[in-house]
Amino acid sequence: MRKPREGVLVAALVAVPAAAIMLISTVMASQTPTLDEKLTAELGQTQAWVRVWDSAGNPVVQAPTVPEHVQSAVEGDGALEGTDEYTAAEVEALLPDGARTIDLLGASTFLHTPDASARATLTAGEAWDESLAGIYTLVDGSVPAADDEIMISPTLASVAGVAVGDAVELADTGEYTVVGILSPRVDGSGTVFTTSGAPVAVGALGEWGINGSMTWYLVDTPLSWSDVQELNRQGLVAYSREVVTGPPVTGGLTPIEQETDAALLGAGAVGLFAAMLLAGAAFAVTFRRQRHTMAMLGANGAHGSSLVAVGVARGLWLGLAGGVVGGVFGIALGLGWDYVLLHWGGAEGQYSTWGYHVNWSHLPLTAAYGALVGIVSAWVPALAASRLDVLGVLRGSTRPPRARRWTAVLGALAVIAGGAAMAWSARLLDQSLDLAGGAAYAQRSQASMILVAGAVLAFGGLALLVPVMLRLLGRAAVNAPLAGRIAVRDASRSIGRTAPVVAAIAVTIAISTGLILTLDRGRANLLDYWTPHAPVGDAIVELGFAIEGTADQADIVVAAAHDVLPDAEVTVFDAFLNFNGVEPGAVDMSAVPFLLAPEQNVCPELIDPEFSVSARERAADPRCDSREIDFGPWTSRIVVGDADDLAALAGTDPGDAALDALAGGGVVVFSSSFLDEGTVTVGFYDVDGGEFPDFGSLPDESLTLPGAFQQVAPGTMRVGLAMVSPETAAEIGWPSQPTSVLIDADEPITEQQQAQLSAAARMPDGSTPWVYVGGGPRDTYAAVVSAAIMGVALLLVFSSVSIALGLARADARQDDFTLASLGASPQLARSVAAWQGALIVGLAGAIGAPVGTAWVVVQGFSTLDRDYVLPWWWIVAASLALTGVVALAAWVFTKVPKAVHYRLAA
Amino acid sequence: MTLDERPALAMRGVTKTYVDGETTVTALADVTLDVFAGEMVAVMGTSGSGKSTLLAIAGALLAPTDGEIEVDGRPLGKLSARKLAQVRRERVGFVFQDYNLLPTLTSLENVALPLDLGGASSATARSEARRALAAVGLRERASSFPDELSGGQRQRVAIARAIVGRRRLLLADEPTGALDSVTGEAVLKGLRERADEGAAVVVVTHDARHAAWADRIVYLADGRIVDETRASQPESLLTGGTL
Ligand SMILES: Nc1ncnc2c1ncn2[C@@H]1O[C@H](COP(=O)(O)OP(=O)(O)O)[C@@H](O)[C@H]1O
Ligand SMILES: [Mg+2]
Repeated sequence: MRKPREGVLVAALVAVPAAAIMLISTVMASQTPTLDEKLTAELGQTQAWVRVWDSAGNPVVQAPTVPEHVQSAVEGDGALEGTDEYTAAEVEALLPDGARTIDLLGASTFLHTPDASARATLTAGEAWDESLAGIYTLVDGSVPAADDEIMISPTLASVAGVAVGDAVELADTGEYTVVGILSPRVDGSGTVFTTSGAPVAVGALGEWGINGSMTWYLVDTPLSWSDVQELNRQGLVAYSREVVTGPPVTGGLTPIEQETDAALLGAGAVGLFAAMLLAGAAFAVTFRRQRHTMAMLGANGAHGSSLVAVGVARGLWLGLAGGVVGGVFGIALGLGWDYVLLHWGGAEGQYSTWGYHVNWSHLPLTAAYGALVGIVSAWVPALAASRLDVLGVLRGSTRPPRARRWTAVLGALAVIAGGAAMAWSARLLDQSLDLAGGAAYAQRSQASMILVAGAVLAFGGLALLVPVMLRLLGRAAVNAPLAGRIAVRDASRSIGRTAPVVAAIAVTIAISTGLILTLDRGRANLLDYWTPHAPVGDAIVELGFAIEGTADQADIVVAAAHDVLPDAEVTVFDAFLNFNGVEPGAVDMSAVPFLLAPEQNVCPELIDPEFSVSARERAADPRCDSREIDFGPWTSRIVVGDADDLAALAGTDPGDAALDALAGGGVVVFSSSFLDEGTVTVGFYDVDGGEFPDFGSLPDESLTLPGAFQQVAPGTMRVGLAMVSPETAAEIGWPSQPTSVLIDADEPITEQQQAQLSAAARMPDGSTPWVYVGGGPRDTYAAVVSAAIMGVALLLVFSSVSIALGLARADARQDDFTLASLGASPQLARSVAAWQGALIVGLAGAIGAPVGTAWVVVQGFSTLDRDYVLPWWWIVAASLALTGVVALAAWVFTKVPKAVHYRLAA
Repeated sequence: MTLDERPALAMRGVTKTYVDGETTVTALADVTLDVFAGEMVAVMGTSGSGKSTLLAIAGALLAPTDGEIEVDGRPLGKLSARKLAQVRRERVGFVFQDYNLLPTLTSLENVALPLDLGGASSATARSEARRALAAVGLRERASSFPDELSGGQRQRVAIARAIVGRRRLLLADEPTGALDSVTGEAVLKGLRERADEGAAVVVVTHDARHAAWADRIVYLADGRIVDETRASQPESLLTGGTL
């Protein structure tokens, strides 16, 4: 081939999306373990593990290979009597006789050094046993030989600054020596390994008991599927090597199929579509350059179809080459990414990568797809070239084929039909809000399908209208500056290279606009509904449940706060004693006060789980506002304080009614659902069993007090749902005590300050209160993802524009000479390129941005939350900025021939 | 016909050597030539004798290796690239064998190009361009694109472009090469008319009949002027021509 450059260009255009597809494929394959990896990660070298699922011993059914997928069996008696829970010995009795087991207990703890306090996972038992190699890996040191020796994970060693040989303290129990470093495959915040006999482990069983926190590994006793089913009948679940690798089993739950990743398919489809358009443009230019040759061939008897065949064959080979080269490159990138994750990705990396996995079966598919792209994108220009007017070409006419009227008509019809479909979809979505349950869901998915079809149709129509738009622009450009006129006319003349590039960029802009606006709307809605546990950058410290001594705890926390953050404002909130954490017998639990919402004030959904209403009915019902529902129909969380505390909890100046209620022996409620005609009812329930009262059950005794509703400013933390004065608290007669300390810092509290606060606030009994620093809603996600989308979009836009301009420049060599001979400044070429870039991107933006925006607008009809205002100015400004930046880049990167080498007429 | 004191084009001892790798070609050697306003000079010579090089140097498209060139009394030797472009724009009109029209612009826009490039207002540029098109008899094809015109029409557009504005030096490099003889004659007649209106015209041609339109014929061989003949009765030739 005489012009290898276009060939390389076409192959590269196919290679880029092919690389992207294989990159995603490889990264995803690496996130999925192979059977061996899965077995080693779950079992090490052991045969099976067993855990308690139903601590009362009620029968369950598990999926044979996915023990996390479990349901309670419908019928059958529990293995245990009454409300008893399994003891470790009872579980062990159910395991095969004589099986050697390793038992690991999981809990949580604090590790203290003189300088730092770090929260950690605790694993008690012989985790370092050789048969568990693969789950746990010995990194350094030796295994514990005594109960006061421990191992820690690498993460914890670095977080707490601890090395082998150091003495540390574990919460509640005392001094230990670190004798080794043991690395679990997944290690979130760090792990401490103790022997099963260590005092901390014995005490750590805590509130969950052995249910969910104990694992028995069967070292060399295989478990058959019938063994597993037998264990299921006792409320236990198992992961068995024999079942996972063995012959098919019957019974049990069917595991949920993993969904094919829509994102991968979508990315691949869009990438290939864009590649097809761009490669088509490159082919169009190649064929235009070869027109003369083609015409000669035609004049000498070559048949049109043979010319097409040559073009298509070339497209096939270039596409195939691009697909294979790009695919291999993508695999290499994916493996590199795995390497980065495994070596520098820390705990997150260990979560997301199992190893270097390549799904080789995707490579031939990618190559085949590349070949398809090559063929299709070569087909159309080849066909056009084969039909060229032989005489015209040989006579030197370069007149472009007239834009056909039917494309314009078809385009206009498609735009109208697509717009109508999108409007219809919006209407269906809006109507679905009047439907309940499955009917609403069905209508929504129907509407979504129509939306997709409408958007594609509208987009295709706009793309078909590009030649017409260019022609109109060309006519309108009569008074434009010369460079602009040349750019517009050239674009409109060379529709074969302009239209595909405009379409490719328009697709990119449409999709990124849609995605970014969707993310932005999500962020805005999140902010609307965000109820922080602590204000952003401030800390809240929850004090213990003990009846005695929380006042002292509060003093310690306040002192710690003053110590670490001298300028911070510190507020201690008192509240009713939380009966839920009180040691049995410490307080008389027969008359615990609850604030109860009258049934008519409660969202029916909370009372009746089967209840189903339409979204619109639900939204019309203030009782069902999700911000209120989160707190439930009753509360025992009642804050005790004065007007200042009320202001802090309301996040604003409290209203007069609330202040009057507080001063006048009434209850201020932060949720109107507790209010019944100006009163609230405090019901006293017997909760000796530790259970919450059933909703609707009558209290043993009740007290009706005046009540007032206080609106809480959006984004204010909720320490409690109601508030009374100390006098009213005394009248209700339930103990109150300091429960939370708010540390309001001038500057956002850093992680280091948080760790210092934790260490400084250690209680005399050695416990550490949890210092929570408000991080705000995680809208960084939207920001990061948006930035990534924008980066990819910019890359696509710039590469597409540079391809288009490169092709245009190559076409314009003769004109450059003419202009120079007429005394044009060499800079004119730059101006033309800038105009051309601006024209292409401007046109693409004018097509893509409205389609992407319309998509988001229509999607907006699927909720009643329609407060989101599209950032119109941002969309317009971003489109203009993109156009400007592309024009500037085109100007800067267009080469100005320093010494023009004129080709003179021979 | 009044000849200006100062030549519109003055070339003194112009030499041009092309260096192409190891070979050097002397395309022009010590060429001295004056062309006055109102005068039409034909340049003849075999292929490769340096005709195009001579025109390119005269039109400030190419710098000579040695020698001096003045256009309208203005020495080109020390001018910057920007100033040279200005000279091409304002004083020199080029006509090429293969027309070199911008295919994306209409006839009118092509003709208006030199004025557009010089920063004239688009109204001025257009009205002057219309006048120039009328002068070559193409008023009706003002809004046609080049590929809608015949070869002769295209060349007339190119001539209109070369004369638009107040340019007095017209350089035509084989303007008839791609045309049949009747059309070629018409083009030459057009150039003659420009000279009669006071332009200085240099036309490169192979055809002795075409050269007969000129006041003077300069023969080039191997980059040197080897002969120069003055037409004895140009007016009689003109009247005895195809008119
Ligand atoms: N850009 C160039 N590089 C090298 N040699 C050239 C170049 N342009 C012309 N020549 C040479 O200079 C000589 C004169 O060329 P030219 O002026 O085009 O002649 P003519 O127009 O009379 O045919 C020829 O030998 C030609 O090969
Ligand atoms: Mg020549």
